Amino acid sequence: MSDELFRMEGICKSFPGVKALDNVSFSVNKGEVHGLVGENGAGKSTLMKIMTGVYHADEGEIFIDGKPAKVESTKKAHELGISIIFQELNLCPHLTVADNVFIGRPRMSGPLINDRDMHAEAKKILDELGIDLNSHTMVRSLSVAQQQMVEIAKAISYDSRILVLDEPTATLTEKEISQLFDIIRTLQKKGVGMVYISHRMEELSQICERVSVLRDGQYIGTRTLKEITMNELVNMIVGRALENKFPKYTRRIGDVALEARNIRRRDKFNPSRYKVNVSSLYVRHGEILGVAGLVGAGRTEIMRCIFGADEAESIELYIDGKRVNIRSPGQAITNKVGYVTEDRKRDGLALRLDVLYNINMAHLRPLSKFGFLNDKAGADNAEDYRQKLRIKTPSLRQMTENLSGGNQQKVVLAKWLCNDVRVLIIDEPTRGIDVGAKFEVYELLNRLSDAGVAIIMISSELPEILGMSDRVTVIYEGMVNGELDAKKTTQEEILYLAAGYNLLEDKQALPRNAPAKGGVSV
Amino acid sequence: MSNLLTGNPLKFSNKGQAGAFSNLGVATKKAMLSGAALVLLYGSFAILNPLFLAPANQINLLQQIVTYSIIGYGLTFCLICGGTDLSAGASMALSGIMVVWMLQVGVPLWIAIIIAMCMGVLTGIFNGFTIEILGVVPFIATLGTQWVYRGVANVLIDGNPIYTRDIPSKAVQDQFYLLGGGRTSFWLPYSVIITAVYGVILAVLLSKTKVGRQIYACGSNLEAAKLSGINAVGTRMFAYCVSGFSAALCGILVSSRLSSAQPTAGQGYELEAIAAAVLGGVSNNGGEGSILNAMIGALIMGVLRNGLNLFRVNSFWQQAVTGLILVAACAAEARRHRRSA
Repeated sequence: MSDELFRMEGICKSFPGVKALDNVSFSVNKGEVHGLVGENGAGKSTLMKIMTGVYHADEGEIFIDGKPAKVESTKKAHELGISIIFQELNLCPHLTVADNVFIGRPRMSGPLINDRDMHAEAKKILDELGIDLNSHTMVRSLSVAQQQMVEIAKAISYDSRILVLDEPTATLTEKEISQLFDIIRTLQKKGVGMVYISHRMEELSQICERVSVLRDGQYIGTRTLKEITMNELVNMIVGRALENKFPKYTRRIGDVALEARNIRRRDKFNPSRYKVNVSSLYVRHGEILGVAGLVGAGRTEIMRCIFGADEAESIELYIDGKRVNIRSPGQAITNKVGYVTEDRKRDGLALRLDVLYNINMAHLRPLSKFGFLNDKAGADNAEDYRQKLRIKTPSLRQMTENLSGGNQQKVVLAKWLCNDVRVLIIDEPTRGIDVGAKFEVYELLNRLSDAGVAIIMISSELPEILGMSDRVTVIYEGMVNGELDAKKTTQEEILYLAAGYNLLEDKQALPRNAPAKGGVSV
Repeated sequence: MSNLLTGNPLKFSNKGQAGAFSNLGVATKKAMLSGAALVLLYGSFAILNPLFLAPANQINLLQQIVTYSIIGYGLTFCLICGGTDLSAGASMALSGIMVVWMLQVGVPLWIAIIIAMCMGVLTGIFNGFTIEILGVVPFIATLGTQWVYRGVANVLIDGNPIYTRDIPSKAVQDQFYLLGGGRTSFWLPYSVIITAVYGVILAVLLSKTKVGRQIYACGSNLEAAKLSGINAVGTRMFAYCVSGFSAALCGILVSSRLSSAQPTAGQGYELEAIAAAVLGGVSNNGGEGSILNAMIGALIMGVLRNGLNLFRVNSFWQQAVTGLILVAACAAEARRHRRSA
């Protein structure tokens, strides 16, 4: 390890109730691109935030050029030459490229800004990196990929020697990615060490020498990519066997309850791509359809289109075989489709209002006469669901804010159940819920499916997908990249599909962002 | 010069800028658009009413524009950095009263003016404190502070107007009148010259200095600005101070021209100034705009007011029209914003 630039040793970090990182070590050499992989919540972001001074490690040491260093703030990180490029870009859209590169420390001559020097210097940096951009262009008129390049130029203008790229290709097209890789290679030649976080195996093998794996906050190992097969890598990422934490259940599956065809919606940030491009998706009565995929693959966006929360360019919906039009959440509710959102605190609950109000929120019409609410009926209805779902609350007048995560989730479920939904879309049903409450939510889902409700369950937790679903649909880049039988498949198979490989084509990479017409379905 | 005024930090090298228009800032494009609207409006009034082009009316027109322009400049700073200042009118009344009141008790002219200006900066600091330190949203904060300033103004002079004729020295009376009411030998009012010079100074400040660029950065993407080590609190405080200072300058000029000051002066001027600025192309969503935009906007508002007066349109209707223009300008802006988002 002669050229070691940066090393972290024995890093531990706890958040209240969670050990986010446990004795993690990680190093980057000069001119190296070091891949960092792991499932969602494995601790990659936390590690990078410690590296760039956003968080402080509870234990462990950081060495730069072999000498111990303290990174106590983002400013200090800048001074030490460490920069991070987040997935969410941090640029000022109304300013020019040069202004953004030198933001915070423009080139001055006396009290005035020297635009000429600043643009010349920006041009020099852009040229060195081989970035073909005019320094006078307003950042708002650039594509996401170009903006990312501005971010890189900005990092280089700080003389960064260590650059962290957090899923840089998540929203880029094939061509843009190869441009990015060219820039990364130029940086490599200049001796910049880079950490490359990505879920995409094919990219890792293209540009990384070594890859480190994190799982559940544990450091699993570092391997040279030439010496490891994709299979081994996926095994390292997934690790443990499926634990037995799901209620055993056999379901009675009926006819198709909801079918969606030809759902298309363009990417807000990159209108030349489809964010959602699904040719067909269906769920049957009494069935749980697991929807797997990487974060940002478009799972939530698909569901929002089906529920009418987002406008789709095209969509055909059939409920019980009949063509329906759903253009707004209101129409979805009329058609007995319910949607439990991923972030229940943001868009699932009125936190400052009581349990009673929240349960009845989407159910006001049946509870009222001539536009006036019948308080007695409302209280009865809420009490009914409190008992049915065993919501633990001191009273129906308790603010939902004060309930535990599991009980909040039950309130959201109650809200939809009293509408007598026939199709329930549920996004990350157990996020932020403790283990005991998880089991209860699972039981609840089972009871619902027993009553003939068709359930679409999005989840990033593979054990949950395997443990709860009957069928698994894997989404990749807004498309259905395969459907699996939950009883027969494995986490590895799902991960392969989620990363864009196709099982049937003998694990060969799919063409990225296949042409707009016709999604890939298996 | 035009570049300087547009405040767009771009400076074109002459070669290889064929598609330069696509590179132009939105604010510059909007300045062209509203500039064209101004010419159209001016032209049609000139054709429709021969009185419009009369020298006396033209001078009158320019003098009317002084208030919109100066308050508008200050508001442009606030709008670009993502805030707003509804207290500008009240702050203007307060400074106007301060200066006349001090002259009445015998404070020397220049010292009275400087103190009144400092008062304006102080209102800016107080606004900034309420917004940045106490964390009140700009709209509500300045809605509240305008009552503070107007209240203090009322207290100072017991709610009644005060007049410059009560200033003990006749010489000071005349000198003070020159500022807002005096004219050069070309009939050009001093106040118009002051407005123009002040505009150029602010344009340089906004487009050519570090703090100016930081104001754009804060309004464009606050998070990015902070992460880049910009002192966002200080930068935005500065913008509110510019607004307070401008309001004070305007207050002094107006009380000079009217030879009096009253606590109700400047009511609604802040809204007219916002309307003017947005009409001229300053974004009420922050991040874009320039002093040139504010100037053009003020000219449009001034020409419109003047023209409507010549056609004897009821002033209440003019008020309604101003309100409609403000809403329409903001709606157009919002529509554009939605589309680009």
